[in-house]
Amino acid sequence: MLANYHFINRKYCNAIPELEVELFKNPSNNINKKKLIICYTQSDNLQKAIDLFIDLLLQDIDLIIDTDVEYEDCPCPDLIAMLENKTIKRESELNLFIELGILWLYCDRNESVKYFLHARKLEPSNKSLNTILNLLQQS
Amino acid sequence: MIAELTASNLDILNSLTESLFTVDKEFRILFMNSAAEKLTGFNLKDVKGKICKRVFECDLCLNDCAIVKALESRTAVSNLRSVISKNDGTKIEIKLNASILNNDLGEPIGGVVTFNEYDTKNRVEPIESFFGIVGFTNSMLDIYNLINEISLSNAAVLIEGETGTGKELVANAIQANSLRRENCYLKVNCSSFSQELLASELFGHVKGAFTDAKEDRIGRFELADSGTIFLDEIAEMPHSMQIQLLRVLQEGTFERVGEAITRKVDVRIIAATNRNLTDAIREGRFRQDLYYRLNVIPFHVPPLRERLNDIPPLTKHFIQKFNLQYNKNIIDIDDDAMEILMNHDFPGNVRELENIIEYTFVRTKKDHSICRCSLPCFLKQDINCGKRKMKVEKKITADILLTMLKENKWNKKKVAESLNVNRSTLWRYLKEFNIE
Repeated sequence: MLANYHFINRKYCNAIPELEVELFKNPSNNINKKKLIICYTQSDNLQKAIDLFIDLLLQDIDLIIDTDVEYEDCPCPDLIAMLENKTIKRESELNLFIELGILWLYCDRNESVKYFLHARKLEPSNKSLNTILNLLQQS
Repeated sequence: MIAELTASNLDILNSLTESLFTVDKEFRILFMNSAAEKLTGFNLKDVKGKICKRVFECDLCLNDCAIVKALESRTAVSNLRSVISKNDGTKIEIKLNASILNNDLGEPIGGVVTFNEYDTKNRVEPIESFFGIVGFTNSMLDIYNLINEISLSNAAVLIEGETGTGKELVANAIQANSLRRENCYLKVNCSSFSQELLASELFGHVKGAFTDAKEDRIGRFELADSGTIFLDEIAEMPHSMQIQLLRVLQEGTFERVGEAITRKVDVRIIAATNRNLTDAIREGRFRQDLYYRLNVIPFHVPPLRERLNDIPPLTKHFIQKFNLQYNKNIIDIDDDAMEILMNHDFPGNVRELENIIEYTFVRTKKDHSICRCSLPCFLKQDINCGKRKMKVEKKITADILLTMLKENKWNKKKVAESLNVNRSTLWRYLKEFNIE
């Protein structure tokens, strides 16, 4: 419940430990995974976000794709706007494209694929990117 | 899941004159009674399923959510004052209570909030504060000015002051007034952890770094990246940790415990201590280089005995606070009780004053004021209420007072002794003659 509070208030770094504890207690709670992925992207923890993202794509890809942005109070549209307008910056273009790819999947699958393809151009041998793109193309 | 309400339960809740709403564990509104609909102008059918923050826009939502307070304290919270938005966009001041709804296993599954429009009659006027700090003496005004002056800076801050003076409030004010106010703000008490745990807490660790490190853990510095970290009781930080903190201050880099990868963060550090760091440096317990790195913007929070004029407004502030907490309507403190407070040295500073006022709230039998008999024993003389101490006071004029103050280099204690009056009487004279 505390995790939800921090998430609603966009206090991602405060939400992370709460969500991690919840997930430890109930590892199959994909709703919490869905939130934790966003939190990781906003706390400079992109690798953890990618790992959990792949995990959720494998288990329930539709949970992300079918996000009701308004009802779920999803922060992704705001975060995407800040990243695309460069209000918030990332240390590399690769990280930026991956983060945008992840966040766009909550809003628009095609945009998400577009960003993951941009990322793969920069690093064609990246295993995680290939896995993500395969899973998205199968969906 | 919270069970649906039966028709009879609904009738009961809708018959209440007190407004009420419930939320689930995602803070989505499940139910709102008729009184709440009437007071706020919202209809249940329009707001059901919506997150309560988005509906009521309560000013407590961001940092002081009443439901979260109840969740964290594991007890109901009551009489919190707040402002919410009505359906027509206007604001209303309310007084609210909140408690947590648990399932059969005792796990939280939601919350219930009851509220009423706050009665603006018969209330104690709020004391103005600076980001929650109460105090109007020159030394405190200097602190407020400095906080405003450094609002655009990201430099490290060192706050020194005795225990209970409000160093954490000053740190909060610096953060809330800074460019990083919207970013993460974390607090770590350096004395609460062993050396190994503190390193792990601040810098994180990787799986297997030590016996209990069963998985990777992100540290506070990484969590607070682009934000602010408040390191309380910095003098208690182990010497070997100080060099690592120095590196974060100089380069913004560190390694997680048990890992060789160097990580970079951008974190503003606010440190505080009640120790004399100069002594600690001389005794070899604190690194001089770290001191200079931390002490870019120094603050000294004065002890309460050096700002006697702040005792009355602080007392009023705590009266307001405990009125809400204890559901009382104390308006003021009587002169005798105030005189005792003005003559106390307050080794525990503002925190001690707060504890004293809370003690009087528990003990006082009067409805609207605090009297000397309700003060803790160590403060008061054995005199019953109403029997005021008779005292012959000299005829003092503003000129005499000014002359004596100048002669004693504005040492008020010495002037009080020379006049054979206590410090509260002197304080009253100064106020009367408008001498600062």
